[in-house]
Amino acid sequence: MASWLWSSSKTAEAPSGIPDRSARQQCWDARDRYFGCLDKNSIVVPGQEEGKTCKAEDTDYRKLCAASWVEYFNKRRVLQLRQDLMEAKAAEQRASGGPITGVKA
Amino acid sequence: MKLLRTLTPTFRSTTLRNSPSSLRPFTLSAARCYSSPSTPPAGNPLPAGPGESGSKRQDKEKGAVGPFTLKAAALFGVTGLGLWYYFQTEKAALKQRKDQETATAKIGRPKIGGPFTLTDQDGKEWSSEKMMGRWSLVYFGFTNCPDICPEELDKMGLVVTSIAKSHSTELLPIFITCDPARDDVKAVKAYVKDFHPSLVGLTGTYESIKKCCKAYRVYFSTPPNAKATDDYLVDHSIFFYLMDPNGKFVDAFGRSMGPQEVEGKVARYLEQWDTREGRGPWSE
Repeated sequence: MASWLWSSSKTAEAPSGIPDRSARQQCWDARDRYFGCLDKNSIVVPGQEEGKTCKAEDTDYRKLCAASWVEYFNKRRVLQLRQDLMEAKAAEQRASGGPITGVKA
Repeated sequence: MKLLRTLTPTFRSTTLRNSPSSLRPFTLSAARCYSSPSTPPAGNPLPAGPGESGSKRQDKEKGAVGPFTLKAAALFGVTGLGLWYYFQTEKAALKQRKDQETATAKIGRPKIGGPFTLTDQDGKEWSSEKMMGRWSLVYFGFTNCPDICPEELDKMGLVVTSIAKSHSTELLPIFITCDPARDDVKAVKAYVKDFHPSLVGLTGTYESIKKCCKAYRVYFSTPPNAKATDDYLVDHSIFFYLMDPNGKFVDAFGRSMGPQEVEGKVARYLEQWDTREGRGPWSE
């Protein structure tokens, strides 16, 4: 019932109903499909894709999630990926620093 | 105040430790005298002897006081007094340290919560009096919350269910909105339906919600001039609180804690609760 209300707000500018459990799940699934597409195309920041890349996924995502949610998820994706990258770099440095200390010992 | 409290013991213990150290020579000799009564007669003339003037005075005083010179008696008295003072102050310092430990334990538990009156999902007045006599879990969120609130409320539901099974105790799960502009009774009713059947959803006027959030130390910020029809998110702190049957705060659980971890902690608190006394180790 509420999911019908939710999907009826096509533009998702303002939620015309409260997203219920299934509406939330639909939104998260659409988000994951879109982000999965970005990953496949090695795009970190949503919106930086060109042409028809991930267009269908993005449209679906924006249809099933409120604009505020899209904005939130997109920002969080960038932050998360940056954090992952920093952690990976730190781990790499630790790994490359390992043998030197090993030689010293 | 807190600084003072942490500073005083160190200040105290150093001054105390310094003053007895100047008394130490006496203390040592006194201890020797006390522990073996056979030594004093042999050892006594020696410390009094070395100085020339000392031995002269000793000769003069000998007749009057017998084997004990006035000086030795004075020394004994001073030593005794010193010892007494030392033990007294050490005892006081120890007591102070102990008091301080319990004080920090009490200070460490923040004052969270307090009475409030809001409206439940059926539009009825709901006061915190209903939390009395029951353990409750309190979570602050908003119905348009993208992912954190539903995850946390699901976690809360899991904890309620498992504690009901393991401890035959019905925790009272409570959701309080920090978005009163949009979350009216209808919205809250539709929202709580998705979670644990006993979940209570509360809303109220902006002022009453703000007061309640403040009591629970929940920070939240709605965009300025937000209208009920706007699409926005609310920044808010994302802990849920365990309150004891007296309505007193016990612990807060963060997002990083999984349902099992929370469940384990809640179970331990329940087991620590003294039903007859109606208190736990965290009670004042």
